Amino acid sequence: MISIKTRREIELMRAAGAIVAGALAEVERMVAPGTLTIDIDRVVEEYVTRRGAIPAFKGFRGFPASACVSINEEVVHGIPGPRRLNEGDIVSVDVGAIVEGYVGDAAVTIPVGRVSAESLRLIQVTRECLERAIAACVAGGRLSDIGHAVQTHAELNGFSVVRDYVGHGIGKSMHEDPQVPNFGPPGMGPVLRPGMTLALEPMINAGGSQVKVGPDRWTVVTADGSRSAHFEHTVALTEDGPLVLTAQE
Amino acid sequence: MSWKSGGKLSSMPRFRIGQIVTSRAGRDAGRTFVVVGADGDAVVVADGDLRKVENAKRKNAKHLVAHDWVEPGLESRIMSGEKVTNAEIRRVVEAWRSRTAGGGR
Repeated sequence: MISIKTRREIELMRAAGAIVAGALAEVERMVAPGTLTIDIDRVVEEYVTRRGAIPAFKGFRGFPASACVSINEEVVHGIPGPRRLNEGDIVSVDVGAIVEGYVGDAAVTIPVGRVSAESLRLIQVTRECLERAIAACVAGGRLSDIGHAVQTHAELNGFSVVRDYVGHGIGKSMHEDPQVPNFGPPGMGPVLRPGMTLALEPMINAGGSQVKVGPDRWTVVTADGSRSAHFEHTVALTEDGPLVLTAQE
Repeated sequence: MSWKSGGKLSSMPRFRIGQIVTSRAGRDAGRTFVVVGADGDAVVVADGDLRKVENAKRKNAKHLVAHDWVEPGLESRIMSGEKVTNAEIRRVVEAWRSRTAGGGR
């Protein structure tokens, strides 16, 4: 069942979202060749907990860290560790925080030093896919309008959309109904209504859309080894249009 | 954090050591526990309070609601035979309550 949030619930999610946005801004400042992915996790955890919030990922279904850190061909759910970022990598960082029981969730993909033009284009197109997904979040529209907007933009640019992992409703739990695919025809699925809160998260591959899960049972990688980018925002539908709850200042 | 299309996020089993569960049957219905072991088809749970680790309760898996949260590191410690204190279990339950803003008993 898709829950409709009250104004107060959305304000709590916005408070959680502001902390997520601040943590990601810290991460963007620290990412450089040589950065350890475990240090990204440490910075995120400290940022979130010092503001009185709870990291939403640590312990979620047993995930062992406060941030997902996924490099190059890793799509999502990478586990931070002793790995160092190299010049030319792209790194996706996904962060969640809980304030008074309400969750904010967002992700960015960041270039590490100088990266190839094709990787920069992948990052840019994925960011644009998220912008198009947000623009499709209008009351009276249909859920599949969101995925259709993402798929159209990604494929027109020669990239592919991950099918096996999707966005989701969000609120008192990180994963609430509905699932929000990044593909499909327009005009299908539930009608979008004010008060719905969704985590929109296009995962776009430079190569084919197929993915597989690595030996740690968490890290999702592209099947063909091509690079992947991921952007995410938590968004509330309002009478006045979409409200991004995880926007950076 | 993205959702596995059509199913669970990861391929984890329904219950794991360290996982938060809520009883839905018996005198402890509604109470929150931590999974501390398995015994045949039963799941062994404790809350460090009414049900201590040394007197953990065997529960029919059907009588438990599994939550999404698994305390990091607890599984490997228990599996390696390390002692877990009742105070630690109480802290895990308390942390879960704070995550869910007062949910559970």
